[in-house]
Amino acid sequence: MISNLRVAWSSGALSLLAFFATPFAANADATYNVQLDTSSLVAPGAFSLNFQFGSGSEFDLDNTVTLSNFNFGGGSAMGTASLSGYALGDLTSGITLQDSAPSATLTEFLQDFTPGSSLSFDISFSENLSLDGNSDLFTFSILDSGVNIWTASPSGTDAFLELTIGAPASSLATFASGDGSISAPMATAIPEPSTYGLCLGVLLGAVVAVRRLRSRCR
Amino acid sequence: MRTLKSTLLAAGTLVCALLPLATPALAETPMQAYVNAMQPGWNYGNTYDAGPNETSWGNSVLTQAIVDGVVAKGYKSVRLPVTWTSHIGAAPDYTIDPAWMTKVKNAVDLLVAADLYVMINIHHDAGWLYQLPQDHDAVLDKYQKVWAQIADVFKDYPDKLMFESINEPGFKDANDNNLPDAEMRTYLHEINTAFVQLIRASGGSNDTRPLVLPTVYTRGDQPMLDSLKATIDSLNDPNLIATIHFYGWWPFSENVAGSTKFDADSVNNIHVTFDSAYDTFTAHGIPVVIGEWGLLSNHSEHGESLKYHEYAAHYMGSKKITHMLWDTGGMIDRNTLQWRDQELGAIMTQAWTGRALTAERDLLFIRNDVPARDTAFRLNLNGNGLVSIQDGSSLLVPGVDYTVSGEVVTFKASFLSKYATGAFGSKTNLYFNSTSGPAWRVDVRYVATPVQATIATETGAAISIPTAFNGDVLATMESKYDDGSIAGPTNWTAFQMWASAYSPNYGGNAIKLDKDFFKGAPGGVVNFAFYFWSGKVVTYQMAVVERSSAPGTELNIYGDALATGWTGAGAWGGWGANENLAATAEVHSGSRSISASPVGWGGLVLSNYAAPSTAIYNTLVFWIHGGPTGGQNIGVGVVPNGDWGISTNWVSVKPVANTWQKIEIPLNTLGVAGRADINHIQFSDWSGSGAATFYLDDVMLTTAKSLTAMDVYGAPTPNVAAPLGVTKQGFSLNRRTNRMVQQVKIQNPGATPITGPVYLVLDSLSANTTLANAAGKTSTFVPSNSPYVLVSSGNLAAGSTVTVTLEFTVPTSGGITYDARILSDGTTP
Repeated sequence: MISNLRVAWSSGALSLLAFFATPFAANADATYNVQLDTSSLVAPGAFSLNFQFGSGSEFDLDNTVTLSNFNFGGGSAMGTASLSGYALGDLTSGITLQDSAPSATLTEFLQDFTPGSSLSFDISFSENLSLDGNSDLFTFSILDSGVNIWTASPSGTDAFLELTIGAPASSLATFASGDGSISAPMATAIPEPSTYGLCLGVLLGAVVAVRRLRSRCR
Repeated sequence: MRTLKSTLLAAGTLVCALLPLATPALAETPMQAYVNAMQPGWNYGNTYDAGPNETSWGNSVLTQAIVDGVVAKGYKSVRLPVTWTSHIGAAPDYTIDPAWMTKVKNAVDLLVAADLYVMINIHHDAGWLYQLPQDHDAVLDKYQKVWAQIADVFKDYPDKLMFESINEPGFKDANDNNLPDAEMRTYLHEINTAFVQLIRASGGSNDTRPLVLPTVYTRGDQPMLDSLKATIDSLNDPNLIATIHFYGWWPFSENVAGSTKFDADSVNNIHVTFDSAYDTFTAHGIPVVIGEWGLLSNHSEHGESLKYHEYAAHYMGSKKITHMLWDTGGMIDRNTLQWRDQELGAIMTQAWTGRALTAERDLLFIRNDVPARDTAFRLNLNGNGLVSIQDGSSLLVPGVDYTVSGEVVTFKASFLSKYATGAFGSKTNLYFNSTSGPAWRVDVRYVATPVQATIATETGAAISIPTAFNGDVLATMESKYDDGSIAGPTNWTAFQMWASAYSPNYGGNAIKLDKDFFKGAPGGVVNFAFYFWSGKVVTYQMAVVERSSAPGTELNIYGDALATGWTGAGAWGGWGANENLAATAEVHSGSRSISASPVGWGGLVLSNYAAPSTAIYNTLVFWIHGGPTGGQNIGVGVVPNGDWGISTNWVSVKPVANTWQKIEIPLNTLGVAGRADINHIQFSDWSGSGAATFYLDDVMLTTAKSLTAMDVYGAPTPNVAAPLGVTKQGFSLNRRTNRMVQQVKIQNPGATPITGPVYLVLDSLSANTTLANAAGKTSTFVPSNSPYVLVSSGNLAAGSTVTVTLEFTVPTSGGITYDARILSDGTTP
């Protein structure tokens, strides 16, 4: 089961933090669509997308994050991506990041891009929750001239999006840039097909109930 | 392990690999060519230098088979240390026993006949030679007359025989303490000068025979080298050789101060020592021989020892310095004529002509509490290539079992996981086969965290801490009182010396603290940290409690006479003791005492064949009087069950002249605590030459505990943070700050607050990083040198959670690991 709550964050606040956490059953998969207004990133500039995925401890269970459906809003990717650790794929076919144990190297995907008006992509991830409470961390950052653009993240990552996969529940938080020029991304949970079916069933049930109610009132 | 040292190890190793080792061009002198031809050399130690005879220390005379074996190993020179003390006659001639001279000559003949270069000397003759400052003319006269006789015997030997003036010379004051360095250098200059002048005038080939001159104590520090250089310059003799000895970076050589690895300190020590020797002597046409080298102890991890021997041998050779391995029979088995440690022999042999492949370690751990992971393992190729990797006798498959990137081999989790099963301990050996030289062997061990158990005992005897090693291997131990002061016999570092302070007993599932660990120490709470090669650190805490006087129940053995059932002159009693059980010359209480004057190694035994139960007693008490002489060396021991084969401990007691002295010896110290069958108590001469009359009185066993010992209660360190939860978020690299960041949550789920300040300590932090935002490093509580951050300056309220952000430097390789520890309740880290 996943949340089908659509969440949007206001933009422009310096240290706006939006946070929601939704408990999932272990091993469940979840998907989010992420949208970011990139119009304030002035081209031509050297910008990079930076996706990282790391473990909190060597004892926790492995997870996988998959990134797909990239749309640069009129911009485009540039050159070849740089992958390290347990990172695979590309923007076209999809990117897979596996959290590496701390004994392995950092798992990271770096891709230069020319910004358009917006950026969107989907995040899917597994949820193997470690019982010891330690968690995995997925981050999405934008680099400007090779360094992270400062964000209001209190964890020191300077990420626009932080996805924590850990017991008792995973959580996702987004942040605006530190100077407020870039709004926090919008992350929208995408329901699984089965959930659509459930919703449809509920809707149909409601229609039937209303019709029966109306027929009784006649 | 200490993070800094580990980091330096990697850096140092890299530097070593890249070091060009170039030496400036120098016109080679004939004596340098002579020394070059001596490379490599070996010592026939602890034999002709033993006392009083060549077999006294358990070795055999030199035989043709041994010589052949040494030659077969590739050695070109042999140092034959000779101790003359027991074979020198009286003044004024100091005639050397001809039989002894013949033995030495026979040994030299064997070596010369094998076309080896041979060095003989005056070796363990410190007893008289070091007294030169106290009796200058007589000692110098003796020294010269001894050498004159040696020189005369060997004057017609070929020049492959060389003389070394004296082994490791030092000079003492009237209290048998070393003189200041400068004074010792002055005396040594005199000795070396007298030696050269005497030999040169002794006839035959001695006028040009190569002569070897040492520094004070054969030390390699610059003032000593400079002093010897001045001596050699003043002698203006082309056939002189400088010699020093080298046993490595001392903390590493002894495994003290946490120096467990062949790290940057050891590498630097090698560089400084041999660069100095080269610059002082070799570069000026004076050849250098390292007359002895090796490690002082065998307590470093095997692979670290291999790396030391490989690199030191290589570096000495690169500096045209000839090295002579110190071997007392522990290196080459004098019966089988094989290396006792084949890997050590092979890697040193390789280093004579090149470099050998080594690695960051010779242990690879598979932990039971972590899922099998791909595991990186760094090699030191040292100019070689990796040919293949064997698992036992089976070749591993590249790409399937492992991958290679530069010097890093990454073993696949799928390969390692097959060993993550069954009993803990060694599972297999991996061999990294090299294009040149021996393979590097790695012991793959399946391990769990070691577990220790509680104890209740007392000081005065060895303290055994029950330890389930679970396959792990001990590296070092740190001990501190809870105020941060050092606990243990080494008082300048909390990382105590292996063997002399502690040692593991893997077969016995215990870690033993030496019997003198708490000798003269106060009571208190002592915190121990046991560092294992897997990276695990296990902490243990002892409450060491000083005793107060309390009366006890006594078992009288001798008051004014032996108690009923006890004998002192029966079948066991009076064995060579010349005892008197009713002496009156000296009495402590009553009217009689026991007197004894044992012959050499003889002893007085008090026995009771009725075998009263002694289980309840804790202490042997007696009064002893040294008679008019005093200072006797009396060994005191007890024998249970009449069985002299039972292993017990003995204590040396030295009575004082004309004084009664009360002696209390805990039965635990004697190794018989709790035994119900103690029926022999022995007082023996330990000098070997007999003891002057001493007296015993008021001998008893008592239930009272000796105030000379302290009670010890040990247990694994309680987890003060037990109610707290510590959870770690995943790592992320912030490229703006170039820091790896991680958030850690500290939760107090309990119903009561945790008293602040509260600290988060990172123990066993992986060596590839540092905690950039550390508030400090632990110095009071072991493990020391662990970085920490402040979690809360005040109390941590019930139910509250505090999140701290950790910032690490970017790892040099791999990921970041550590064990989280919480300190609270106002403790200072």
